[in-house]
Amino acid sequence: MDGYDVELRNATKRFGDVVAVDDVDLAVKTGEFVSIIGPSGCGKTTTMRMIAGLDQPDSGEIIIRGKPMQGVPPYERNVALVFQSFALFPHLDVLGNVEFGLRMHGVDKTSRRERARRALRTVGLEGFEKRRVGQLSGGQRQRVALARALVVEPALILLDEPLGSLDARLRVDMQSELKSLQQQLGITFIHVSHNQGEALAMADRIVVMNEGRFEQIDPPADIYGSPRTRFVAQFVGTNNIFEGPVAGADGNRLTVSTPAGDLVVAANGAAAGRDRLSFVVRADRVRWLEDGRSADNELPATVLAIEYTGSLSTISLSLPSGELVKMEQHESLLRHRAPRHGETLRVGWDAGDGFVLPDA
Amino acid sequence: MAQLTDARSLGAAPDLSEHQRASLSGRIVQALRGKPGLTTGLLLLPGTLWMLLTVGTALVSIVVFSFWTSGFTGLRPEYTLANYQSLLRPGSSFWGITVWTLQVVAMLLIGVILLAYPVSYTLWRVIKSPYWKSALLLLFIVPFWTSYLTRTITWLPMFGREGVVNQVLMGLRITDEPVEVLLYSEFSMMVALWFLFIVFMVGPIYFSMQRIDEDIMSAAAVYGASPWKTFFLVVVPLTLPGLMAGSLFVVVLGLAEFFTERAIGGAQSPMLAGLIQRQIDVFQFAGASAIAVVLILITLALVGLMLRFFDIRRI
Repeated sequence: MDGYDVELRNATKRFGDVVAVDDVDLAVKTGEFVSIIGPSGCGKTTTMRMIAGLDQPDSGEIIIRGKPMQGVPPYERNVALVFQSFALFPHLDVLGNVEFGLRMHGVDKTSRRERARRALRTVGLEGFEKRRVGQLSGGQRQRVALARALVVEPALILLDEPLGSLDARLRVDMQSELKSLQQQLGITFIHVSHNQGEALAMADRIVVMNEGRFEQIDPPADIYGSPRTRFVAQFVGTNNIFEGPVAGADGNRLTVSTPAGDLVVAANGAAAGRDRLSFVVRADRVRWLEDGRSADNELPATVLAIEYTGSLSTISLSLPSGELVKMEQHESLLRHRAPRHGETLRVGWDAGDGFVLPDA
Repeated sequence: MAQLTDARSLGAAPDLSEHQRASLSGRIVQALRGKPGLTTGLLLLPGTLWMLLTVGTALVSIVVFSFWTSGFTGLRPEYTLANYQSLLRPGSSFWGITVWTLQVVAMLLIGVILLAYPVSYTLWRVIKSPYWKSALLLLFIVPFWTSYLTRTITWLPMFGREGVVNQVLMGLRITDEPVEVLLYSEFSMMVALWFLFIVFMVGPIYFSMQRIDEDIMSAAAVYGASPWKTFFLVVVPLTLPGLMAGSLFVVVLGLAEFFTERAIGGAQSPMLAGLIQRQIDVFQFAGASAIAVVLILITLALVGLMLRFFDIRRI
């Protein structure tokens, strides 16, 4: 029990017939940065609202710093929440917003002023005390919202899509700032987002959520490299998923008859004794085999689309069987020879690039 | 060439044909081109003239009449300050009635605010079903469309000696005799006024409550505010625009109140507007006009004070 700031035990929440959060368990260590990611409607916001006390679980428990939170209203929980809309009080100035929590907890004026100023300094908004909220930019509002959360020294800070309303450039800056701030202060963060990039960049552990359930709880590298379910493989990163019966085994290598043809994949613990399986090949593991280079799996593929995203390009390819494959190539590799629409390339990957999914 | 003309006409008035140039409207358009100030002025002219003709004429007449002399046959255009002198002289009943009027309006405003907040809050947050919300809101708004006189008069069969309330109280043996204070008292007048005026406050407050973001309410709770603290420290400040709009209605209409005092208050303690009516009843048109002028000045002063205290443009 010690060392955990939040624990969810079999927490379940229904809205009418819909099970928004379905029997989830999670224990967040003190000082940990946990991201809950999933598509919209997966229950991540409800999970967060239950921790904050804005929604009550229908069954199961929520424990904050060892205390069961059953029946404890939000205003007695010592949990802070940074809203996507920022939810700053429009009738108060910046200082008034930041010291609101301290005022509610009866901290005297002198010390709450001082603590609010310190929090504003932490988020880089010194000198903004008297500004009205309406005069601030999106990024500044975000910082005020963050200062308002930090100043109450909460057991944990919940962040609901905190970067969702910021423009792309600011989002990347805030992302690294949030992470370093969290490490510096050692406060537990639970961050909720539909953006896997944010989670991969900031979190110590990622919870992937789908249809009210936690699909996988692991460090970012494992979520990205070893997805446990088909859903996780589809949601995180750009992955190709192949499925079919096992046609043969050769030591550590399995041959799987997929619609795209017979493909070899390295066996792992999840593959033992299965006669049918699916495996994942990350798009960045798919290589363009030029000039006679070879791979364990080689396929001809026609270029359907090239999506240029700066340092990486994602190339959508169509196999002769009609299956689609995505290939990510670094910009430097494409500089001297870029594939063209409709061109047929030879692509491939090694058996070790495939990862057998534990589920089905 | 045709394209060039199109592009230019996006920013300016279209080029006119010879025929249009010759017509009257064509010439007006030509004359106003590039003169936005003059255009605005001309557009405001009809409305301004209408207001001057209706409100302006009435106001000016009352001011003029207040300096005339009342006679047995009506107003005589003999200019005098006597109306104001007798009204404003020390010891005139005017002073007491003015204080009473301000007291009634203050009690009216306070009572209506105290009633309207719980009602609006209930409509906003306690009642979840949108169906019931609209139904109840309608219950508050329908009387607004009913005649003011009708609304006042319906109190009589409710609260009279033989009225519904007394029948029920006596039927339930809560009292043995009819409760007299329900009608023809200052208390009954106040109650009637509160219920007459609550609609002016519930509407604006409810609508400004609805504009409060749900996340703001959640943020208050998360940062340690109990529902009561949230109400006083977040909801009330954020509904000040609605409160202000409602207060303007209540103060302006409350100062002009005369009928409730007569019908339900028992005609024992007139307010300024009631005093005007009583003067008219005895054909003292000049005196009535002088009171009206003073009442208008008091109204303007109060409204000015309220607007100074709160910028109406924020509503």
